[in-house]
Amino acid sequence: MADTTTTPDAPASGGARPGRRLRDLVPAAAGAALAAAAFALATQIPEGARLTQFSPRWWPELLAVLLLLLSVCLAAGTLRRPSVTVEEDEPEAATRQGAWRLAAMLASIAGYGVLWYFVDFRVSTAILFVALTWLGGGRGWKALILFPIGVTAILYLLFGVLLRVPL
Amino acid sequence: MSPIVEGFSALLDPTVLLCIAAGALLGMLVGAFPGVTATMAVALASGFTLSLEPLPGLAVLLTIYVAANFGDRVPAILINTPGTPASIATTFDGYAMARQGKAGLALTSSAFASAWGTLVGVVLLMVAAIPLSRLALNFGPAEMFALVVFGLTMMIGVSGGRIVKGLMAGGLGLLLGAVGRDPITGTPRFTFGVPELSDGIPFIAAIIGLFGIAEVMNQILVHRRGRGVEPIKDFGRWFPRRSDWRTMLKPMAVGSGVGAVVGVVPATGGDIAGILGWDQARRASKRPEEFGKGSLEGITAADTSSNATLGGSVTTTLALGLPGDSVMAVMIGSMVVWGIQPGPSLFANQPELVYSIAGIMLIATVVALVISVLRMRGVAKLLELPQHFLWAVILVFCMVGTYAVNNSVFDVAVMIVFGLVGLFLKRFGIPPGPVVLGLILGTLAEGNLRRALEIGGPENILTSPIALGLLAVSTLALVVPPLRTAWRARRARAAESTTTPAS
Repeated sequence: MADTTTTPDAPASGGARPGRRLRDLVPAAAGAALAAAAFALATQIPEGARLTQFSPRWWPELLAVLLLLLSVCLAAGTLRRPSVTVEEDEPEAATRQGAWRLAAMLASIAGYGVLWYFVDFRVSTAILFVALTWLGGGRGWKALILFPIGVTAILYLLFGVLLRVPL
Repeated sequence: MSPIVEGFSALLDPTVLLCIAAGALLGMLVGAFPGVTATMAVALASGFTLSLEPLPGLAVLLTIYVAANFGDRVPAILINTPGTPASIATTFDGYAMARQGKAGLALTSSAFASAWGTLVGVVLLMVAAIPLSRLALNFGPAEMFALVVFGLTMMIGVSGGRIVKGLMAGGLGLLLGAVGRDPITGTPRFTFGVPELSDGIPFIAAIIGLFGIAEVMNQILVHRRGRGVEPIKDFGRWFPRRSDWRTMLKPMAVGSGVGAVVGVVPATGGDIAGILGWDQARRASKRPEEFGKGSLEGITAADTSSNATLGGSVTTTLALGLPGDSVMAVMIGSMVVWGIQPGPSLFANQPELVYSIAGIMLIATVVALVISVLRMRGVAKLLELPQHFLWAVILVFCMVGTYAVNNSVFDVAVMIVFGLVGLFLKRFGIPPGPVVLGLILGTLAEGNLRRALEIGGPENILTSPIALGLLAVSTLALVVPPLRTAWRARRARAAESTTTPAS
């Protein structure tokens, strides 16, 4: 079966595939921010009766400091390195259409969460399958009717009937 | 009753056999789809196996683990794309054989080599697991802490030249593992008044998010139309002749040895073993020049070695409580939920479990071999299925499977958040394995470190030869790869500078 996506997948320009420096500096910044937040939150953990030598804060504070040091190391190493280096683990470039497709799929999943509260699992799940398959590029009655109904039935049989999960 | 008889007889339950059959089919399918790794499949299956009893649940997960290592050879041979990372080395000679019109022979010889490798690993499991766990039973808090550090650093050390990012991932995992109650005093930490967080971040939801959802999100993000490679259609002859069997003997022996050793080392899996086994067999071969150009010896060594790691990985996981590879890291999460705590005391209390697990792996190997030999053409057809069906199935199964663990929408939200975190890690070159390992082993690391320091201060760790040895190996695992890279770069520069004046 051929992929029936109608719009061509053009590689996104600019930041679709982060450059080598950016691929190190962004995690370093994120790590430092996370470490600072974790340290601040750790200082608010109640000390308790101090029955032991180490308070409940000790381990998270230690880890936050370690994470901060590693973030600084990563940033310093990146800034000291020559800008032109061979990228061995470069990720595949994202496409603009891929980004839209992903955002639309996440929105469908959020919508499914709401729909499930009001509509029966079988109906809401079949609708979600239709949405995800359509967004993925599936067209025609097999992809948009037969596949969603078939997979929803299998899912319901497995979880709802065999494993008795209250769906 | 002896543990051997008790362990094997537990498998006579028809439910277990049914679970093995289901796991084998599922494992072959997920292995055959490039992009669905064994780790991801086991993470996905964790969602619905948690409703089962431990043994049938383990049967599903272990069989997926075994069978995925058969199914993943199909795309490696037919479209030069490894179904899972464990079949990277299969592509070296498998695709070249297929292009020479020997796809059938490549598929069957790969299946036989994989089966042999798995059997060697299972024998290792039966022989080594109980003695290893008995040895580890003597470990105190200092040794246990060093063991956790060892496991974590081995996973970081093999993360391909990204040591600092690997360490950051491990630190993030340990920090996430600190969410919940303090392991010694029970004080709530980072719970923000959310009752669902008082037992910590839900493992299964986090694992499914990091390995399942993140991978699908990344595939959606980078997908392009019409990029697939047309699979090979001419399979040629299928079964090896007597001369082929003779050719396969030596690489099978080399691959078994390499795979067994690599498998026992925590956190190293079939991908590394496959490449090492292929390389060692090339060195030992009388026709090394044929390696990489469609050598039967090459494909045999790679597949034997990569599959021989399975038994070793299970041994390390169950006997020491340290995941043998990333699949095992995921499986530990499920075992903990079932009340099976992998670690030294597991086999002391339940020795029959070793034989039940070995039995499951043996049956799974036979079933996967039979499916491989009989239905390779059918599995090859799967490569023509469009990706959007796979994405929809994985996304919805992840959500419903995660919900089913605790009937909790909160867990589904955690899974989506971890999916986004996993996507970030993937796009920015941070390995997700150490995050999971840190999350799972965080409590163990903290509890043992604090106990060790409470009992005798830092001397408690520094005077233990086992703890010191493990910490020394951990340090080497982190320090040696960057030093080796720097040394090679310097040597290359030196060689370049000596040739430049002459030219």
